[in-house]
Amino acid sequence: MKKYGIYLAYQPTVDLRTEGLGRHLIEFLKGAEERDDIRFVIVCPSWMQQSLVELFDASGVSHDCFEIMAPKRKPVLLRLHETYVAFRKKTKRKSRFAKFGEWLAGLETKMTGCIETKLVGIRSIILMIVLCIVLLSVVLIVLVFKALIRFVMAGYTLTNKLIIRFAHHSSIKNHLDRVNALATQPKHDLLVPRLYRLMEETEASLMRSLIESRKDISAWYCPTAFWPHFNEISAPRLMCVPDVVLTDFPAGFAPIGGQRVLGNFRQVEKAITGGQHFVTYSRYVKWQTLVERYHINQEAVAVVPHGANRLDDLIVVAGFPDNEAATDALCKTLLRSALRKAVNYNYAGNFGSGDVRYIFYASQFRPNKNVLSLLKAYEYLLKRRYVGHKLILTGNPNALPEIRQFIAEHNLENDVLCLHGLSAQELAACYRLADLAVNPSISEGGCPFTFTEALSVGTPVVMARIPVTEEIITDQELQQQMLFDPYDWKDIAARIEWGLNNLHALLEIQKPVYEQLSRRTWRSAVDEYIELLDRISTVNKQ
Amino acid sequence: MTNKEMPRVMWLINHGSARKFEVAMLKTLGFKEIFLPKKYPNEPRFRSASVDFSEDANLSIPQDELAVLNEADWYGSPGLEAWTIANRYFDILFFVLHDAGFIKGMVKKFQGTVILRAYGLPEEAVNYSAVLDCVTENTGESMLRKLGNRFRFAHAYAHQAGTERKFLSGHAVYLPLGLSNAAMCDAWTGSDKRIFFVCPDIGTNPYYRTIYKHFIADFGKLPHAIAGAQSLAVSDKSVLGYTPAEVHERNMREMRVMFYHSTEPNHIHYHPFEAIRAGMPLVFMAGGILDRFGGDKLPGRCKNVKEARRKLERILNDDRDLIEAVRRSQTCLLEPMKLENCEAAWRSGFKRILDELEKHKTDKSGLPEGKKRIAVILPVGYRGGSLRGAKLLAQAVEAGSRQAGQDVEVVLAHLNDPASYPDEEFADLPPSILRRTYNWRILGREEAFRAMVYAGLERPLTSANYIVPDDGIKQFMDCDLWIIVSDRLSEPVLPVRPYVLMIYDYLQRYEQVSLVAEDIRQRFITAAHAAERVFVTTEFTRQDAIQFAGLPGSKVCKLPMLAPVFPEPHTPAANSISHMQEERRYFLWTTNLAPHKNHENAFKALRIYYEELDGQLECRMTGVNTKEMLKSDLFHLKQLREIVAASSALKRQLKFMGELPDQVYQRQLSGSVFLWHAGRIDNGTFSVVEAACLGVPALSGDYPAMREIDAQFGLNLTWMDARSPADMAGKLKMMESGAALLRERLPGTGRLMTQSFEQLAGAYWQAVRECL
Repeated sequence: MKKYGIYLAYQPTVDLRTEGLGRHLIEFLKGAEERDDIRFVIVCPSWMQQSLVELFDASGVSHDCFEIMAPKRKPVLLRLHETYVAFRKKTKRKSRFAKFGEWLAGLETKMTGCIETKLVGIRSIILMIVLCIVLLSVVLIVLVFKALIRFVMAGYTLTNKLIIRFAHHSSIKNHLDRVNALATQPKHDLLVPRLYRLMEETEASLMRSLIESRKDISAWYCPTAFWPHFNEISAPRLMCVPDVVLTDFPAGFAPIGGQRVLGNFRQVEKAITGGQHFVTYSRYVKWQTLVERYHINQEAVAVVPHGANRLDDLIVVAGFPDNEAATDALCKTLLRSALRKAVNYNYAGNFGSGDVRYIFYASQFRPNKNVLSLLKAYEYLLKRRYVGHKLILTGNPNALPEIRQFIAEHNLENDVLCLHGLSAQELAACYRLADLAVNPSISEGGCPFTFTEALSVGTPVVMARIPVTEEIITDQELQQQMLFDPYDWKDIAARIEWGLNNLHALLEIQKPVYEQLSRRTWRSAVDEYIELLDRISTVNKQ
Repeated sequence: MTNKEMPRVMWLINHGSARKFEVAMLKTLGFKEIFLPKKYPNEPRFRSASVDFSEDANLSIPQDELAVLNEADWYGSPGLEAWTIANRYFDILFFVLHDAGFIKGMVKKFQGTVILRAYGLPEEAVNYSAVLDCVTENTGESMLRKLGNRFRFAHAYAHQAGTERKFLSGHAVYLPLGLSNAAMCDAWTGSDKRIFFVCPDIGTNPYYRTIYKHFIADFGKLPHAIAGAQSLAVSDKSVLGYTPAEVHERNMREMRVMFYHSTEPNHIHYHPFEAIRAGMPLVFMAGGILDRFGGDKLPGRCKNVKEARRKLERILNDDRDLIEAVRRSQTCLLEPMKLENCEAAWRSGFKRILDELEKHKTDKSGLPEGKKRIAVILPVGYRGGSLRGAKLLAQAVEAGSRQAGQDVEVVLAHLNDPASYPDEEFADLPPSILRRTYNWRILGREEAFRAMVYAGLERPLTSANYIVPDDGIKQFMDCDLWIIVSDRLSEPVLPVRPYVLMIYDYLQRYEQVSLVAEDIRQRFITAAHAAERVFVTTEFTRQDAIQFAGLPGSKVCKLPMLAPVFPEPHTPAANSISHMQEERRYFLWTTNLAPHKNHENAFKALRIYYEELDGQLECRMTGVNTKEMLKSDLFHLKQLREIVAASSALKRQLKFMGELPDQVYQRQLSGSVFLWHAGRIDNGTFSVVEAACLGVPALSGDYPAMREIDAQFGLNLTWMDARSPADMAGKLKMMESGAALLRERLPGTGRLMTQSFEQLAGAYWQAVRECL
């Protein structure tokens, strides 16, 4: 059995479940699961080990096909940070005093009610006097207790106020705000990347020791170009470069993330320029990015397109008299739960019936995603062509202010629904219930997943005519039908309108291509990666 | 209970195991005729559902009517016909909580006893009262309360009624859960040393997903197999998924032990009983229903996970003593599930149900049937088209009911505002339709709540304020249904009566129509959601009601457009048109000051028409406030002054006629070469129909509502792009020369008469009747 290594070095707070590369890794290992001649050894920082196991368990990846190696203990600073975050997340419980006060108030009401009931029915004066004494005693006891509780509570509040006033002292406040930001949004503070880099250095050297101790591993694979330390491995190395999208949109990305993103970009460049063997998802990235921009020897770059990303196994149910209807019913439930994540839920909450018809674009909001052009096309379709569909997006409009602004200025808040942070099942349901999926993205590392994701649940697609898509959708006639010029919003609108008017026809011509593409499973892609790893390990030996 | 007295029963549930037992029990009680539903929702949670036709043979009702019942959706909207048949033949109906619409329809339409069947809920903190609130958005209790003792809450476990709120517990009747076959069938060998755990639908049902996760966490390291059909594949080799009956039976025979996880005090699954019947040892957690059936001394009972793990390990490791002790003792759990042991409770429960039913029939027999009364309410100060629409709507409802032989009284209600609603506006209203004035009264939440209690409709209210139309008489409580013309309701309507909204358009989706704040707009939408139905008159608005307001398609009812009564087509006036046209070379432009009337483009188009295309016809503008158009300070009209000032041709050829009396308007229209409708979007204008009646063709902006008017009345309108002044001007020039030809293509009398309101009234009545 041959062993290959996978190198991962994400930052501590990264949740792999929400990262595209997390899904890539799962598909990778699932593909490998079907082979009994290889085994992967994943090396990662100490802080990733637990989340990796959870990720694989949640995705049903068998433990038989991989092994995880990581430095044993997490750095103390990181553990302190985690403890602080866990403490902040703890739900606040009612204080015992408050609970006791509530109980006392309830008792008072109950007893007063009981005594009042007795009082009004009494016909004996003696009994009346006795009851009044009892009532007065109860009221007195309760009043004393209440006063006591108020006194204690007042003391507690006063102490709190003093602490808060102290904390609001400007210099102290600045420090506390910083601590708070570090705990909640660490990546937004420059100190964090700096500290992380230092921590990463130490962690990388520990990881390197682990790697060097494993002579049984023939070659190493790094699924992204984020980590220059990967290049320090002496064994044969294969680095995947999905894309370097910032190079295509320098002005678009410049305002985003500031120095932190610049730092990351430099790391990527360092990783690429120090790399040995490369793999990308498309010929376009190979030639335009690696060869043209970074002057990598073209022979060192292989192209392995994605396996088909299918979503049907998440939502298409079986075992019912009408499986299609049962699937739709499940999807409507999931859509309702997705709508709860809408930025404008006050309005989106109206669509609980699930009867809504919509166009769907699943993507984060980034400069290369071309969301503004899609919005322009949509506004035209809605207000000039009276196409009544909604547009459902999955990005957060606050991520790119120009998107939020466009939606507001054009009175589209109630027609463009932004559902942010969807689960994989919710995403699949949104695809399934959409009339048409659309992808206007101008730059991607490989053919956008939109095509196979949408068609796997029976939804036709229109997409931007970009090189990575044309590499995969090669049929001229189909290109004519489903691709639009992403630089011309009128063409986007025209293609969407045509698609909506010809849903069935479009689906029928896309189905055979999808069937063909879906034959390329992740197993096929993994086989090609393994072939590459095998090749570079053999070449190095020679 | 003798067979002779036994009414027919509708058992509107599709749960396979429950059906086997309960149909058998009903038969034991003497019910011979039982209807079983043939359709159920295609939803993953109906996993245990199935259809059974076997009882149809025992029903002595006509086959065609049975076919209607079999086709009906007894979980949603069965329809009027199905309810009529149900009332004709059935007196008792079992149902489960699923859809608010079904409950609403059942309360309104079914005249027998309805029994809410409750098999228990998994979560201790959630009871049926809460589920009823949730499914019906807090309206269920008040709806069912209307039925009095014709409503029963049939709980399956003796203690269950005590966990419910007063309303359900007050209507409770105990009909215990049972097994159709509780006899032992012990063929167990236990040769497969694995735990048998049943957990279906892990991928789609969060409840089962949690159970699965807990099981794996607690017992995953012990050998196990997980049974139960899976709608979605689960990537766990121990999950068996669907297995054919013979495989399932073999598993029951061969698996070493069943573990039952539930500590739910109000709910139990069937599979633990299956295991007991098969002789398989059952290890179960304490605290659930099994404790009520078998006490706390059974050897298979475990107080915690640790104890369960220990017992499971012992059984897996061949501890014969424990195995036999568990097997021997657990048969007592079957006793309460046996039909013969449940019969007494069912018999006594049904005695109460039938006694009350009989009493109800006797009590109601003397009640007189009154004539229904329907209010058509104008919620704000409308004039022009909306007022005409409301009057037509009132007439259509009245005429439709009369045509159907189900006369109703119709009241037309408008604000008590003589300036907006002078008497002369109602001169054309038939005397049979009463006019009533009112003002909106605002009730705070507390007042509103009291009103709801007084109306017998107590329920939690969420809004700070509610409005109710106050006519100074009975606040329209004498009317059975309120039809409110438009959704312009600033606060929610007090839900003391069902109401329908008549919505003509959702212009706000396409245009900045007014300065109404977003939260007020949201209230308009909320008002539509709270309505019984929403009536619309165009497909375009129907789509907007679904796509923009988010209404379920089933709530939106599209009705044909009702056009006002115009002069008879081809009257003498119409015949003299050509003569008049020769004398007066002009076209008529009907408009008002609203932004969507597209004035700027129209003025620009006129300028091109006169200055570039040498247009010869004079343009006469008419409509409310149009005389003041150039003096207006409205933002969208300011620009017009400049356009007119810069064009001497416009100054010469554009005439501002203002609002004209009907007869004068019709004279002007008759004399025009064509009618110009320059708007870019709205709910359409019937002025083009009126023009056709007078033999005048029309040029219109091309938008969906006008297309639909064109199609319904067969007008053959000429279209222009109202967003392009050049196109508008070109079409004006084309009309100048082509109008004569277009007149020949206008619809004839016969075609227009098919769209008279008498012809269309039936559809209106049908839609209203569904809401009564």
